Amino acid sequence: MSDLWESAVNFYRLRLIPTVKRMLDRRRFSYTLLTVGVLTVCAAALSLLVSYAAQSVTALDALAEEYELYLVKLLSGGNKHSPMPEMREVIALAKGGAMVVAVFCGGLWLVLSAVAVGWVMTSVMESEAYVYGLFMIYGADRKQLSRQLSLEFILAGLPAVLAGIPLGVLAYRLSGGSGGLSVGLTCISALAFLLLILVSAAILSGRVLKRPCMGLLNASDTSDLTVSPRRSRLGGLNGRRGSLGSALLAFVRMRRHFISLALVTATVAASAFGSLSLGGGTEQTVNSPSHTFYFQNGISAEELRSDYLDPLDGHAAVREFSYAVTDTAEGLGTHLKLTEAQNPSRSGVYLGAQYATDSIRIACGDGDAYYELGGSTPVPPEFSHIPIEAMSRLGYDLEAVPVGCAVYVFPEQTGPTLKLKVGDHITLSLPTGQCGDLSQKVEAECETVTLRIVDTVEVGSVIIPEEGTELFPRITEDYLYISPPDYEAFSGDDRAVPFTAEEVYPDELFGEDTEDTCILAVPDGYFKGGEAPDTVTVIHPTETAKELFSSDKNELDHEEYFINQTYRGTGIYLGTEKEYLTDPNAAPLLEEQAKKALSGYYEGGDVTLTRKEYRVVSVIPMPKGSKPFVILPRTDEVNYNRLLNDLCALRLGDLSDDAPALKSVVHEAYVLSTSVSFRNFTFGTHLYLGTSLPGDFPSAMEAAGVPLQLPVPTFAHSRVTARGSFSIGDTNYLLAEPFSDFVPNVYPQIDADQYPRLVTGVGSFYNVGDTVTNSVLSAEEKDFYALFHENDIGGLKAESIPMAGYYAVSDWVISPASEADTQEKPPRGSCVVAVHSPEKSPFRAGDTVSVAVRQDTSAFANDPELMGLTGDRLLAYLQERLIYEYVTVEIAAVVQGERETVILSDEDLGLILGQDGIYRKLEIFPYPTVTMEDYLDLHAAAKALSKAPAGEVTMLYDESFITGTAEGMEPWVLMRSVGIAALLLLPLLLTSSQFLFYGKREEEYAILYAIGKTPRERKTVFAAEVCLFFITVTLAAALACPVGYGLVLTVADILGLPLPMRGFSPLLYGGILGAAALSSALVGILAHTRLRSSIQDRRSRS
Amino acid sequence: MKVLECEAIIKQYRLYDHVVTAVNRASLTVEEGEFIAITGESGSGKSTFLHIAAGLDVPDSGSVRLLGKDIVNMKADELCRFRGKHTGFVFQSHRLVPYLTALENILLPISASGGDQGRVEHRLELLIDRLSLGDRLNHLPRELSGGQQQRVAIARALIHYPMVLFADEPTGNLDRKNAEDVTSLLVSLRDELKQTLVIVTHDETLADRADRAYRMVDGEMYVRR
Repeated sequence: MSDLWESAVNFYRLRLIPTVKRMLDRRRFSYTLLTVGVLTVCAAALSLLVSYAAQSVTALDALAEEYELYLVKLLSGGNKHSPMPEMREVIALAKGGAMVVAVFCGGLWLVLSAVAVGWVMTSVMESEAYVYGLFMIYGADRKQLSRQLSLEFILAGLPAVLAGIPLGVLAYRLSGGSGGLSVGLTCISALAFLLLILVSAAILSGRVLKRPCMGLLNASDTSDLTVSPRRSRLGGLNGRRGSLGSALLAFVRMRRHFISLALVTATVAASAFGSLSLGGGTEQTVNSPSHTFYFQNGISAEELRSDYLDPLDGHAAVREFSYAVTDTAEGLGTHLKLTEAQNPSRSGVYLGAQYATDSIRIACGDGDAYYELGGSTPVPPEFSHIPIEAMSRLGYDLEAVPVGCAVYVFPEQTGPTLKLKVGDHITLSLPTGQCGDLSQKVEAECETVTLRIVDTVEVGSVIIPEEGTELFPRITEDYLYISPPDYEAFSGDDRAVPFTAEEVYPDELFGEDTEDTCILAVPDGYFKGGEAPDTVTVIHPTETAKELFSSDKNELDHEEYFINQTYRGTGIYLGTEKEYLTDPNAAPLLEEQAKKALSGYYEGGDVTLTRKEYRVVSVIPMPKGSKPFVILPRTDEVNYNRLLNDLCALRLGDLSDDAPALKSVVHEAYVLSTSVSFRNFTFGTHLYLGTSLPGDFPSAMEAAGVPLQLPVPTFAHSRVTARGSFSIGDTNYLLAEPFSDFVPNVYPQIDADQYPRLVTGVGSFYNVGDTVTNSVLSAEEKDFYALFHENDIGGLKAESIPMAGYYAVSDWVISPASEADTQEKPPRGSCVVAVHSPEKSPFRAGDTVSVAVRQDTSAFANDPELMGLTGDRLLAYLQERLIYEYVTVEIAAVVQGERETVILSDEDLGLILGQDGIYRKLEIFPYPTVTMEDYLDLHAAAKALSKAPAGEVTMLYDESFITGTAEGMEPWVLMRSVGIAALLLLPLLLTSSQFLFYGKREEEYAILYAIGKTPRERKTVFAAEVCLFFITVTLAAALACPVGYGLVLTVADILGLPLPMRGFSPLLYGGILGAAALSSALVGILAHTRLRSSIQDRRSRS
Repeated sequence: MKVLECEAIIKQYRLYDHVVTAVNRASLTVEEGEFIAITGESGSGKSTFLHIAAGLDVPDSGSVRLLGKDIVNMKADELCRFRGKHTGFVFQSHRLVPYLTALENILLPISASGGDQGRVEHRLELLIDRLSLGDRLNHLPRELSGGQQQRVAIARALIHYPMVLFADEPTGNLDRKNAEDVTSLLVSLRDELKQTLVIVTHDETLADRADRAYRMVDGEMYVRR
């Protein structure tokens, strides 16, 4: 320890103090200041880069996060189109752009910093070279001296970093940048900068100290800068007289100094000019909106080209323009009728919008096929979608469904989707292949069953077993029930038992003995693998189920208290395995509790609670002995978070006290699973409270939660976003991503301090496969396929939806020609078909295709009758009202294309569209170099175009998202800052250069004094030298600016970087030349003052 | 004991299209405690020879053994340390570090080699006393006269107990009185400290007081007496 202390003291006394003293010495102080100044500017610019990069990434990440939330909201609102891929692409592009800017500017600054730091360090070292020589004579080796120099520069670098980094952040903020200072990044950049100093010091000191001792000792004069007249081609200057002659002689003899000075000046000026031009160009580009015109009616392609495009080509403000004629055909409800022979796989030719439910057009019979979006699901026209069940838990006498017949059940509220009558025949199909190209396999391997409809049942309104009690589910979708033998034969599923009850609910009239009998009567083989017999979900043999169903009306548990219908539910399972509600009053008491719990959330009226069977969509294995208690709040009027908070605060003990039917008070709660999903993956938020867990968690919950031992009931709430499903072996998995976990300020009762065992993460894989026990899902496990309709999707479980779950393409994009096409177009009456896959779409030249567009699109816009229609009725409604007028054209050629497109002549397209002309889109992108006058001129021209007599022109400004993002990041701030930093460096570098130069020439000027030159004469000599210095600097800057400009342009062009340069600005050029000239003049004066004071000092000493 | 053995030293400089031979096969052997003086006209190569002998410069050919070590082939860093430990050097122009005080300049060899200042306290007192610098120790070089500056340079050269002291025209920049003082000082210090002394000088008085004197003519070494 004492050794360490001694070392520290020695370091302080022998190294640190002498070094600081040396740096603060009067003769050295100016160099120290210069070093600190240069390093400060470099550090400030580094800080700018860090701020920009951090801000860009943070801003874009925040954008992505916000957009995810927006997307969830969007999708939960029923939208099916997800713009996320495009959004991700846009964000990735913007990030890429930001990184290009950061890396480019970073590279530029790195070069500049290396030059600046190297220059100033070399200047300092050269000014001290003879001291190093002395040290070496007296025993200091190069390593020691190198360490000493590194210490000096680190000591200079510390204040530079401390001042420069905040300065950089401040400059970034003042320049309009936003975002906070990242402490981590700042520390890293500070350390990196100090490391840079160390490395530079090591390299440069190695170079300086490489010279022998005597070389270092003699470096105090200008001998190392002087080029011998023997090597000089300008040796004739020797004879020059006068001040200018002397100055010229010195200039030529010491040209090595002036050449390096010119090079440094050129580097700095080129960097400044390039950066400032880049910044200006970027800002102007981002802030210059492009114009978009939509030409319509009466403007032919030729007119467009001759009257509008050609003049634009030479317009000063127009960088480029493009026009397209395809886009506006979208959304017109165009339709293409093909024969089956033309599209044997019935794959979709999807062009334009992905789907359009309001314009379904089914052409039945005569070989016409109906084509689906995506091309993976063939849809014979007779089919529509319905789930099919072999059994039902309904009270209907299922055995009454004879073999070869089906029962059609539909919801009371919406009515039947299909127009099926008793006696109708229906055909079902089941693909026997697995996944892959479904469309291919259905055609080849489909097994069909034709059944006769024997009955239709309207649930809820037709069968009411007992007045006042609704025991039947309010189903929301249509079902088709077939007999068990048919189902088995059809699906090949030998698990399809004659009766499948979803759940078994002991009746209150049963005693415990009966209940046990009931359970024990279930053969072991019926329990699904791994599922413990103590779960409430079991499969029963026929006879038991029949008995149970016969007493359905007496069920007490599995009650649901709900207020309106919602997708969210909170299930509370209470009690233990055999503690079913034996007290007849239990249900009312629970109801009362629920009312009490919920009453605070409904204003202006009573709470109406209705008993209704809860259909467990996802059966989740429960803690041993749990019971369900389900609350479905009316989410449209309830602050859901508040409700959950208060539910959380609701003491289970209180509940049990008021509910004597419960045998025990539960004091420990286990959070098992919570989830809310959207779209078709709806399950709700579940809250499970139980007593204790007997061993492991149920397999279905392996990643969803952890036991939470809390003294009071609590809940866990989180949400997941379903991303898709997949299967491993026989188990289906739902791929889910959590997007919201516990938020302490939202759920203050649940925090990590209070409940350290709480784990807030939600697993990525949410196992749902083993929970399926009913016949619907068993069919789904076989990839059951039935045609379906949009509105039915919501009733299905996520994993049961065929991936090609879209349908109905009507918005064909029919192009008269490809974009910006100048080539020959198909003649009237013919078309060119572009196909992605010739195998799937074997069009042949000479075939004909019929093309139509819905003629009365606008009639549907506000059609009140259309509102509320779904399914088959919507279909029928549309079929009755849509008018398609086909135009038949011959296929002139079939070409390969990414997008499948039917390319028509202008005339045919016009005929189909019912317009004389077609839509044409023209986009104009202005130059970043345009002046404001040019831009206003373009603006005026654009306005004039918008009133063109030849046709209707709509003019839009393109405010793209990327533009907005780019504006937010303001990359030009960074570019300009680099330029300004470079300009700040220039006087510092010039000063260090000239101080050293005249420091070495002090002797020379002293001689001038000694030999009798008057002050005026000496001043003249010096002025002449300053003029030469001034000319060197200004000339270097003048030549370097265009070179720097061209270099940046070339690099950006070669690498394809999105770096728009503004035009070569004479103003900027003049400004940089002025800055260089002013710097050189000031530095000259400073150097003269310093020299004079130094000589006077010598005089006074002598 | 032979302290310095220089054998057939050649040093040439290339000046444009012809070669200048600064030292031409010069040899010199110095015994421990000897006082050697080398005289010669300006440009005769005596300073170059002294720099080579002291390890400040490298010969083109020939060997230099200092205290038995071949310093020509010694690695640069090792040579620095060896030089700092065993040699002292006095320049014609004192070459003091302007921002260090007289005392700090004297102690420069100690700080340069990272040595302990306590080790040289006795020597420091002796030198300060003998060189009459007691009242000037905290002055910067520019506050000292030429003679004082040279005395500081001599103290700096001797502070670390060097085996050999090399001096390159130590009186060249001094007036007669100061030159005599410095001469007396060097001789007395040599006697007192039993110091080996190799001096290059124009000063005949100083050369006369040497044990042996050599003369260099056009880079060649001749025995003067």
